[in-house]
Amino acid sequence: MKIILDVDNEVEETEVIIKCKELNNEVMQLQSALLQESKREQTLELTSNGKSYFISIDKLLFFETNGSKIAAHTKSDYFECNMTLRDLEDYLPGNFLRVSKSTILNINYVQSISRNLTGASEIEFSGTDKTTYVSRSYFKMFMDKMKERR
Amino acid sequence: MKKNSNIFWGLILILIAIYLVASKFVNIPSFSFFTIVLTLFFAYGVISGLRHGSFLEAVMSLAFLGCIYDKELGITAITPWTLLLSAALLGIGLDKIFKGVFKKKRWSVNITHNDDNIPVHNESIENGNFNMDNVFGTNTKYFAGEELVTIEANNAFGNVNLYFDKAILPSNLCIAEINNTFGNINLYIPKDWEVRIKPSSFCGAVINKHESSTETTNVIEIDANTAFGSIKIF
Repeated sequence: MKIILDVDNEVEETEVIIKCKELNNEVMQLQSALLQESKREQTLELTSNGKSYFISIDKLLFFETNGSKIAAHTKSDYFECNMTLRDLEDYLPGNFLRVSKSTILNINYVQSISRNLTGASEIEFSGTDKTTYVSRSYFKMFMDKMKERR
Repeated sequence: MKKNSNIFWGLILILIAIYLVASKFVNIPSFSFFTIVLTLFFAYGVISGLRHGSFLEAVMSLAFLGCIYDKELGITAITPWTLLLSAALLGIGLDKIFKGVFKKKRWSVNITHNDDNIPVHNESIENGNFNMDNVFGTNTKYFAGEELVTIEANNAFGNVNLYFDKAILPSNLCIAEINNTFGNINLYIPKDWEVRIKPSSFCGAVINKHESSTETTNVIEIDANTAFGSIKIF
């Protein structure tokens, strides 16, 4: 079996293609192993009141700076994160996007965007009252990303 | 206060009606209907600002009047943004200086993380008394682990989110004065707190979406004042 690794920094999500002559046991086992790996939940270690929690990344709405720390928000709670926003940008999957100097959000949960007088646009998330803001300088990039998903 | 407001708006509508009829018979300088409505609106803002001791509201209303009549006043070189920004800073400055003079003090200044505008920051907490002033910026404050007795948060042209989760109220009571103009303030209050609100708004809204659980442990009393913006309580 030949293994080809094609590294391309333009690719947003890792994709695995299996080319085979026939669907035999070996190929099916390989497919099954890859499927299992892709379904494995990616978690992040976060803290609250001195306790550590391993929270699924899919459950996180946004990260924002809180003084010298980072607050990580789920729909109903928030935690402290020990990583910097820059490190988070590298670590998080493609559905997380920097929207201001102080905020990274999960575009999968974005429900509405309201432009207002203050320059920053308010983002509402589905299933929660929490909001955050996209700053003017990141707005175009954010909107382009949202439009890509239509 | 509501009665005075009704009389005022009633008079405005009557004056507009008179103008619309009279302008067909007499040679009155021609201003569009929209201009007249805006003039009356901002004139009310000037009076309301002075009455409440809010220089920012009064000066900003004057600045908007300046923008409407910039050609007549010969100030097109500084409208709209230079005039509006100067007025905001002037209003905030005057409010800061005369804060103690008026019993009902109003708007002032701040910012912690600010991407788009002038970075001005003023935030402090001492003996459970939290003070925040925010202008032209987006600012979030988390009170987790902090003892709170009183809160005063002033916002102008900015966005502020205040999270009260895991805050400690030594006397089970927190007194909050929230002042907002041309911006948004969102307050996220735990479900086991009871919320008592005294709302006051001028061309804005105080929206309470907070739902307390059946048994509450703490009480927060909020004096919520807004003009041209919103205060939301979740």
